[in-house]
Parts: sequence; C-alpha cells; structure tokens
Amino acid sequence: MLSEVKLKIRLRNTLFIASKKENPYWRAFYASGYGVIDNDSLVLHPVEVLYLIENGKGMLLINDDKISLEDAYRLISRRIRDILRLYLVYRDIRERGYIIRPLHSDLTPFEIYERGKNHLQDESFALILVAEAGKEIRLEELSQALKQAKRYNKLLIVALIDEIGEITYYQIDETLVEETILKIYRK
Amino acid sequence: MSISDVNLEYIAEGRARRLMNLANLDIVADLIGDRVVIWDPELGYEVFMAGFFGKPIGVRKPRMVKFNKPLELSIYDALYLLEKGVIKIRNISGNMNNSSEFLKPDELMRIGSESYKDFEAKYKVYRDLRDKGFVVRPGLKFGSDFSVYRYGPGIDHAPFLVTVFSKDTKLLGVDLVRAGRLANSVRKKWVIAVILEDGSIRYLVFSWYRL
Repeated sequence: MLSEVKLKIRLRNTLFIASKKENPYWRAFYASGYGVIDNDSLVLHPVEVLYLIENGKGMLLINDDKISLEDAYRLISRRIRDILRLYLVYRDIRERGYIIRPLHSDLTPFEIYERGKNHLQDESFALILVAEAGKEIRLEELSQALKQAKRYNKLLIVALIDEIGEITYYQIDETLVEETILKIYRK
Repeated sequence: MSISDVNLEYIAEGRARRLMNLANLDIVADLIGDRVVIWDPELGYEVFMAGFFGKPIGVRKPRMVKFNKPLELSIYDALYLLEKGVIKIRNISGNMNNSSEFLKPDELMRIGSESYKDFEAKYKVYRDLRDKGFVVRPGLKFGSDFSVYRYGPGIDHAPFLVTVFSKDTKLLGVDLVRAGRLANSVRKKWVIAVILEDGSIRYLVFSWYRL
C-alpha cells in the first residue's frame, strides 16, 4: 500500500464509507483486510476507521473537515459503548501481523487469518471472543461461541483484556466428550 | 476410534459389568453424618474395584491391590451407587427409630445439599462423567471439585481437574488466567464443567494461546 495515500472516509447515514470514486486505491485497502464492498464503496467498521486514522492511513471527513482521532473516538463511542475494548483487541491483533475482520456477531466480533493469508483467498482460522479480566464471562455465550467455532471448523480464542488494556489470548476447547457405550448398566 | 478409545471402552465395560454384578450382593453401607462406609472389607474391595469408588480407611494411596479395611465412600460415590441399585444405605446417625429403613436417593441428595455447596450441580457432573465411563475422584488436593481419570488414579499419568460452574456461578476473566496458568505449570488439564440452561453439560478446557 502506498504509505502517503490516505483512505478518505465519510459518514453516510450511520455508515462509514470510502467511495471508490474518491479513493482510486481502495483495492489496496480492501486487500489488506479493511472494509466490505458495497457497490460503489467500501463500508468500514468503526474499529477499522479508528485504526486507519491512528496509523495515518485514513482520514475521517465530516462536511469536508478532517476529524481528529479524539473526535472520531467520541463520535463512535456515542454509538458503540464498548468500542474501546473492541478496538484494543482489533489493534493488538493487527499489530501482531494478522488480518482481522469484524463479524456481524456480538458473540465473536472478529475473525482472524493466519499470518500471510487473507480474506480474499483463504478461510479465517479462528473466531475471537472478547472478555475482560474482572468481569463475568457468560457461560451460555461461551458455549454458544464454541459451538459456532466448531461448526465452521475454527478455533475459538478469547482475548482477555486486563485493567490496563493488556491482552492475553486463550484457546478454548471441549474435552471429556467420549461417550463409552455402557449398554450393560444403562437400564 | 483410536486405540485408547477401545481401551477405555473395554475398561469401562469391565467396570460396568463388575458394578452390575455387585447389585446381586446386597451390599449395605452406613451413613454416618455425611459420610458413607461399607464395613465389610471384601464387599468394600469389590465396590472399589468396580470404578475406584471411595477409599479404604487408613490406606493413603489406594491402588488396585487387595486391602483389608472398611471402604469410605464420598457422598457422590454413595449417591451414584445408590441410584444404580448397587448399594443400600442405612442412616445410622440420623433417625434411630427407623434404623431399619434405607435411604432413598432423594433423601441422600438432600443430605448432600445440606453439607456441600452446589451439591446438586456437582452431582450432575459427577453422574455424567461416571455414566461416560470415567473414574471420578475428589479434586480437593488439586483445588478443583473432581479429578477425573480415563483408567484410574495411578494408571493415568495426569487427571483432568474439573471444576463445576452452574448457572449461578460466575465465570470471571481471572478464572481463565488461573486455568491457563495451572494447565501450563502442573501439566494437568484444568476443565470447567458448565451446566447450561437446558441442563446439558459441557466440559471446557482453556489453554494459553500464543498469537
């Protein structure tokens, strides 16, 4: 991706849009894992918008005015309350060199691709569930997420955020599933 | 099906057969407080051998070696064996007038619930694992509810350490950290048994993932 090129992002209704017309290099961004294509534009998830702005790869324009990262946070957090924890995880995984894509799922908000692989050619290998150290992880949700991951043959990884935003990753799996056939004493 | 599955099946079936045969022996155990004892060492040995139930009194690390001591059962063991019709239990410390009467499973369940926190949920997990052919032993010395073996203590090299989370227990983020750490340091599998709202049980294992 050309380092000096910034993706121009605008807020259209409630969506963050980068129009193809205004962004001749949109394909490079898309290939790097940003956004989903919708006709004449790329639709970006708020965490992607924040990440692009923070890294100088994108700018958010409101009425042609460039918005600061701080204002972008404010704007977005008004709509998505837990944007910060989502962003922390998105950012951390990106920085580790993975392509990470937002999913339309509250349960597992992200999926990630093996290093060097991407969404254009490959399947993601893991779903990410976001949890916080001091807070409750709902067992039903955990189990649901695991079921979902299993169905698509992916790993389920929990991103656990501590009080100062550090993230540790845990893989969750199922065990003790063997069912022996004890016909004899199952009356 | 792998070799170990076949073995497990074989061993579990052997145990199940032993257990079935025990039902004909009319084994009577005594409930003393919330502890259950089979006094006859011969019968106690048979019960122990049918799936590592309980512990011979005074024997530190019971193995599959003949012992000559009464067998103390955990209340989980006792309830399971009672439900399976393997033993009968007399309540000797409770109602002396009805000392000839045997306890029913729901009475023992009530006694368990009075003594142990979350007993019903824990027993559900115990029963599920036993029914699947695993050996389920207390997990206290590992800091879990149960230690679970495929074959038995002293045979498997490391048990699964199972802690029960019913829907009233909160799983916190720190529990994952603990689970991950323990699994790494003692090389045992730290398992969380989750009882879901529909009553089904799932066993989750957490391991630190290097991303």
